[in-house]
Amino acid sequence: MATEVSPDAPTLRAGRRERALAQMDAYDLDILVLGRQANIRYVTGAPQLWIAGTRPFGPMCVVVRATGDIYLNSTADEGMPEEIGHDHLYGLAWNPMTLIEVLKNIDGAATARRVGTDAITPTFAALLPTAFPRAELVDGELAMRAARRIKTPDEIAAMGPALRVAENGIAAAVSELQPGLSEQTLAGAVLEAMAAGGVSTPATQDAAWVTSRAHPWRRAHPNGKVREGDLVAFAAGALAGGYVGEVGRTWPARNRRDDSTRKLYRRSNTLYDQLIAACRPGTSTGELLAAYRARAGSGFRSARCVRNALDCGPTRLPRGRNGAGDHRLRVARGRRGGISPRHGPHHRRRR
Amino acid sequence: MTHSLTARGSVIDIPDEPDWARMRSETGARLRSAMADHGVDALILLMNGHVVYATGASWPLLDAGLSHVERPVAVVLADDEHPHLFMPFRSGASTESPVPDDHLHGPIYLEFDQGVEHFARILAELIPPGANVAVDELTGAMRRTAPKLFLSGAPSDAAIVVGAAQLVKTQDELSCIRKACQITEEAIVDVQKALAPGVRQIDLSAAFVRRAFELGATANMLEAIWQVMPSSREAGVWTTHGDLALPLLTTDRELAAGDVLWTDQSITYAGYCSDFGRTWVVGDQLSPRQRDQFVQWRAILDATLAVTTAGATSGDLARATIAAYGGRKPWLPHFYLGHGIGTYPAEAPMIGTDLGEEFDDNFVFPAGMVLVLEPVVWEDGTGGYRSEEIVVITEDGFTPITDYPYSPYGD
Repeated sequence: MATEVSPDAPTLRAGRRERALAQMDAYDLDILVLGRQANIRYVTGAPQLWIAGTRPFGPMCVVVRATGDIYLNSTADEGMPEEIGHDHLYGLAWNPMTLIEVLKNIDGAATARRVGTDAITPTFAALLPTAFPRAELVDGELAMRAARRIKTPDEIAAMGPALRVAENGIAAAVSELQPGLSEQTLAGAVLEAMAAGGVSTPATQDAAWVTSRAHPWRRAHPNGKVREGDLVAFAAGALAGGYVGEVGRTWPARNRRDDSTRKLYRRSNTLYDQLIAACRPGTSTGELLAAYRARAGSGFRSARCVRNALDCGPTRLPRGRNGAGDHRLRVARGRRGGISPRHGPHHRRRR
Repeated sequence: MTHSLTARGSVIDIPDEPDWARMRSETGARLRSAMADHGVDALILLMNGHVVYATGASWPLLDAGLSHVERPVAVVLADDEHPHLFMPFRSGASTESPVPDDHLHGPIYLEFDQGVEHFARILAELIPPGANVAVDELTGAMRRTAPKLFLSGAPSDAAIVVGAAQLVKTQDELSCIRKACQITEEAIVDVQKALAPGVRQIDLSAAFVRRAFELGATANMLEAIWQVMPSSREAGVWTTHGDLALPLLTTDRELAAGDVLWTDQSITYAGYCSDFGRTWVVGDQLSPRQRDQFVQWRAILDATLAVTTAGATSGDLARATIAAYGGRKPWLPHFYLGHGIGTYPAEAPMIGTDLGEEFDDNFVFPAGMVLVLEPVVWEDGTGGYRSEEIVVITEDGFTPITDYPYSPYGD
């Protein structure tokens, strides 16, 4: 972490913006109005204040296809990329009509035919036509998802630091693991180490939990304390430089590895090797799920823990079961298929 | 320790520990009452804070992006005392559920067409035909599937209904907010002790989050802010309005003796937020002008509190506060004199914003509302002063919830 707040590197910004504008073309969007933090970071490259949880939709960022101009809701210019000038910044507002007035005055708002938003509230659905009187308001999230799905080489490079920070978070908590400690203390150790490593913006905070000996996929008990021989699941997620890095490991308390634990870990490692081997261009998520089911056996958790891609920023690609149908993995230059190792009782070989 | 604030009027009794069943029952009744007032038969809630309020579920929150995908969803029906909860299964599932088993559902993925279609089939069974439905947010997939999802036409805004219910807190909600504040304050004690030249801003964040979790925080709500104030407005970061920037992000910056910090932290306990703010000086050496700034700030806060009671309006507080600051607004143009707090760190009412004076004059405080007051004062060369205090509005005054000293400025 630096001692100053800086925008993302110029090539990273340019590469992402190019992809976003290409998808605006593909989806025929004259203007994109964004409220989601990850989308805004993607198109602007400007660091933003982190607040946990969902935020209600608001017009926090506007992208104009014809000019490539970006307007951003930011009261201050610290960390602002040079291409977003002072005249393109608008301050924090509490009255939705203040924001609508800002949108009205954006070049192209009056003539836009199709305006996409990445989510909408009933209130803004009613107000936005005032700002874009000739436009059809449509979903813009699909365009952003398409843009973000394939990572540029600069993005792949940018993900590394987030993963390192998450790994260090887990390492710190594992070094403290002993019977008697609470899940909360271990979670605090993960978050403390990530912050000390420069990231006070966690992607996840459910960082440690004692697995139940009686029920699969359950916590041993609410607000549990670690007991001798427990298997403790650690899951660290860091949001660093706009990218999520998540790492998961399961560790036995007192590092006591009996035969059954070793067997479990071997099974888990084999499963992972198979899944990673199955991640090839053109593979469908259905095939990944099939590989999972074939190897996991009945004792493993349902296949929802299989992911078909390493996350970019905080939006996931579709996954199987309830969420989505069969998606093909696509690989572009720099693309990296990956499976998060954070779920379930597994212990990956430490490198 | 000297208390930072003293109650005015009758002191309300806030339970040391929340009674969870009573809390769910009372907040549920408030929510259904607000639904009746707004003519809403069913609420579909996607926003984390709304789901917490409606169901009593709380969890260690994800960052904003992950929260869109793995989000708990609530459906509240006007004639059912229990809400339906659709809970993602991110890590180990808790054995305890805040809703009955037949109201607890598996995860729902509303970012995707298939997930919304699945949800539409469930809703068709839960919500009677012709019902007035309100929703707090629509994903793209929900917009595309809207005709199947909202059988009786376009939904109204659920945020207005939930906001109306949330305005007055029950005694157990107050207990949760106070507990969140106590955890925050206790964690901050150690952080403030560690404050010294050479310490990095991020070190303070690390110490704070560790201690807060040890003490029982459910989640960190806000990237901790330890903003070093500029010597003058001119020397500060550029802003759209020319006044001070706030908040500025925490970095690896090493603090130096004499740095004036404006701090801002928030955590949750059982889904309810704290809000902590103080001004510190690294090295604790204050100039007479800096002490004067604090005295002035405290006089302003006292003037605000003197008119703080049930029946007062946001406009009353704004006017009293401005008068105490010689006719100027002691808050930044992009913020407010104060705001509510609950399952969100900043709920209604926001006082003194671009919503306008008429809006503020029409916002009458009910007893049981919780207010965070955060005036700021500024004079070039001092680093200014800003702190936050939280009070519960009572019939004849207020009861403070926060209790942390003003050191090094005051007791």
